[in-house]
Amino acid sequence: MADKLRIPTTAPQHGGGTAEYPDPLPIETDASAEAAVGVVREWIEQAIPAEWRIAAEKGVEQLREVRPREAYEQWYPAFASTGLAIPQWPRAYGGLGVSSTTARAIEAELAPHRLGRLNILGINLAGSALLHWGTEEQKRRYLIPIVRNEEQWCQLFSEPNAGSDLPSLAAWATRTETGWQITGQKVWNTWAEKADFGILLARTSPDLPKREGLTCVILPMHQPGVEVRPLRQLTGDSEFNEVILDEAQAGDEHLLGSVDNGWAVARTVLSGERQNVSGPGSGGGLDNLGGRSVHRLLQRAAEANPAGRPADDAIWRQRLMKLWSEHQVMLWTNLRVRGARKSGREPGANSSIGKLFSTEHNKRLQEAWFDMTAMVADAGATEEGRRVRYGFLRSRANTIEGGTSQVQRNVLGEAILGLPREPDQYHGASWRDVPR
Amino acid sequence: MDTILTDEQRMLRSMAESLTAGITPGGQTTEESIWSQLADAGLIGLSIPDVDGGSGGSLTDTVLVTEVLAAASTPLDQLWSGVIAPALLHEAGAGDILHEVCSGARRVAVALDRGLTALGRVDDENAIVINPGLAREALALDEAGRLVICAVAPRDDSADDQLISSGLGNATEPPIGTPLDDSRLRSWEAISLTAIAADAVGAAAAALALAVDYAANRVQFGAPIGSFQAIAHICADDHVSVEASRALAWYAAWAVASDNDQSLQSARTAKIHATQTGRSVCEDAIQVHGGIGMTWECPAHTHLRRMLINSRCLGGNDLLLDRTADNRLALVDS
Ligand SMILES: Cc1cc2nc3c(=O)[nH]c(=O)nc-3n(C[C@H](O)[C@H](O)[C@H](O)COP(=O)(O)OP(=O)(O)OC[C@H]3O[C@@H](n4cnc5c(N)ncnc54)[C@H](O)[C@@H]3O)c2cc1C
Repeated sequence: MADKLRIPTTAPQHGGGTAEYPDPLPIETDASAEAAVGVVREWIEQAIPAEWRIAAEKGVEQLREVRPREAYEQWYPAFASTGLAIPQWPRAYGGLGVSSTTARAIEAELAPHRLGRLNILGINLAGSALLHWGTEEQKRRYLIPIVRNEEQWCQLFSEPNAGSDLPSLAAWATRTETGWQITGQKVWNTWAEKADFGILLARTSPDLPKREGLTCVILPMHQPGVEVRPLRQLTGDSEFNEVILDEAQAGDEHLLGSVDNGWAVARTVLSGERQNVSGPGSGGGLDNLGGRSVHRLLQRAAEANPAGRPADDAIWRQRLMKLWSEHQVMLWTNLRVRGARKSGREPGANSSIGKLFSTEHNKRLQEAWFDMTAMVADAGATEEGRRVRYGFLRSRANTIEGGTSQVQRNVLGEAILGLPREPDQYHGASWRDVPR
Repeated sequence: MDTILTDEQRMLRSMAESLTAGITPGGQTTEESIWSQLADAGLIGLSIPDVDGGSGGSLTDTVLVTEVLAAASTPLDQLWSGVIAPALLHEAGAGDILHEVCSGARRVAVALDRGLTALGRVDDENAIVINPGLAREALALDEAGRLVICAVAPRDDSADDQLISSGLGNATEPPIGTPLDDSRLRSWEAISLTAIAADAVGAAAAALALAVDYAANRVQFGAPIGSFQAIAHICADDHVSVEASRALAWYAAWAVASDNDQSLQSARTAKIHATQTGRSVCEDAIQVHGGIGMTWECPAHTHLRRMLINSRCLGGNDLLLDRTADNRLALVDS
């Protein structure tokens, strides 16, 4: 069946069979931070083109010139196969299996070279779910191509009538002789247009209460039953899509977790997503959030300017330092959440703290960028101004994507603080009986 | 000051409303046809005296109409070419050109300096023209403080869609009227700030209306999202902001028209409040819409973009607050 529907069941043969990628770096799983960093330094010298290293030191714009996106994408699989892209993942699945302390040290060592992670939806959403819920076979099949950016992923959760109330979704998976058939409509699916797989949530038992009748599916995107239509965003870009599923096919081997256990899997995906949106702490998290960093803002504020330096202005100084403090708070909060994750506990509802704080922070940060360019640049009529305005507009989505701020607050109130739930007249009702 | 609208003002407002009823943002109506409709209705140079070619309305009339037009997302050049440029020509004592502009026959935009804080100079290569729309000429000052009219460079599409930064062409005709001294420039500034405030009120009111409508109809968790207090309270707070801004804009219109010592101060206050709170009202409208709010099709972002430009023109809030502080704190006995 897989053959007929062009559903790939085997991982791509990397490099078309000729190029071999390097093995994971010789860093033991119990390596100390110092030992690991030593190996990484050597690797940096040998593996990162000197031209890139020099440009990366100068800044993002300079780097973009010598390292266009395509060149980076071509180089990336070799980088990722060293295990450096996601050092805390097990060696067998594309990482180095090191402790979070060592991973952090490695990331800090790499940070100046701006080796931003690719396939972040694959890593943070699909990856975390696969690690937690995948069979051994699934982990071996999917994780390494994710790390190497050889197979890209998207998230097929939201529907026109199921956003904040995600568990009420209606896309329907039914059994066929050979596996599963899925029909329905998904929406706001970031990068679905270039995805090879989607991590999909579908209803399998409509008579059960909404959270109990869902199943998580690894959906192969390249098949006749999947149609991806781009949607235009307010920035003018088309970063997200709607995805129409018309008898899309999946096999039993594509189920992630068991039938009707999809909500538990979805929660892992969502907390991975909330981490994702709140930034990994180093290694280019802001790219995901959209916009420019607080460090660059401070630099820009300190540059000489005919209209005066914001860094000398009493009001700007305070605003800058508030943003910088928020950034520190964010880093430390993320580290604590990551620490908890490493020690085996799911960040769970706690991931809402970072999601809420860092998204609201990024909106303030991009707003400050916007206001500051009015003072230091030609008020937005320059290339810098245009980019800053783009960052400002794009970041408005931060408090919506990955669960809205209102929903995060509800989660914190109910799941963390133990406050009584919002009255829900349909609590426990069969999914069929709830109005949508 | 009258705090209640007169019958004439109500009629004027509903006239503007019915005029804009056919205009949908990004819709079929061309900029050209909107302009001639506005001119035919006497809404270009509405507060310019009849003898100078305008409609002889009050500044309050202009504020009311500007709110309505902004709410309908008519192109931003209505504000600049229809209100702010005529006011400037009027301060300079322009004759024929003002007649031509008010009749709709000639469209002129306004140039500002690179920081968008003051009127632009003809010899400043960094001068910026605010959303000229179809206007091919813009007003600026020459070195002697006289008003001149210059060619506008064609639009550079890579830049901000609301600003033109390619500089000004040479003056196309001799300087207009008499040199603009500080007091005339201040009167113009007061009128302009008031009009921008009104524009901001209109955009914010429209964004709020959009949010409220969506909140009443969008169902999640089996209930309209407007029944969740997290959403209802956002809308309620925004309503307070919009009403406060409206009160300030209306007051400014009256104070500026009566040309008392509080004119400029009240215009600044109105502009600060309307654009600052207006920005968050527009952002809240996006938030209340969830994913749909981030799409191009949802008009919330058109109001936000308008608010961004309004918040910068003729002084951002830092600058204007600083100036109001200079003015107000000087009155405090020490
Ligand atoms: C840029 C972007 C990228 C995205 N990418 C993806 C993706 O790749 N895959 C995917 O599946 N989804 C994606 N999403 C969808 C995203 O997860 C949803 O937009 C989000 O969960 C909100 O759902 P909604 O849009 O239906 O808004 P709604 O749920 O309709 O919310 C509308 C408003 O009501 C509020 N609200 C709803 N319920 C409550 C409540 N109980 N209490 C208080 N307030 C409430 C919300 O906070 C919001 O302000 C993306 C969204 C954006 C904006």
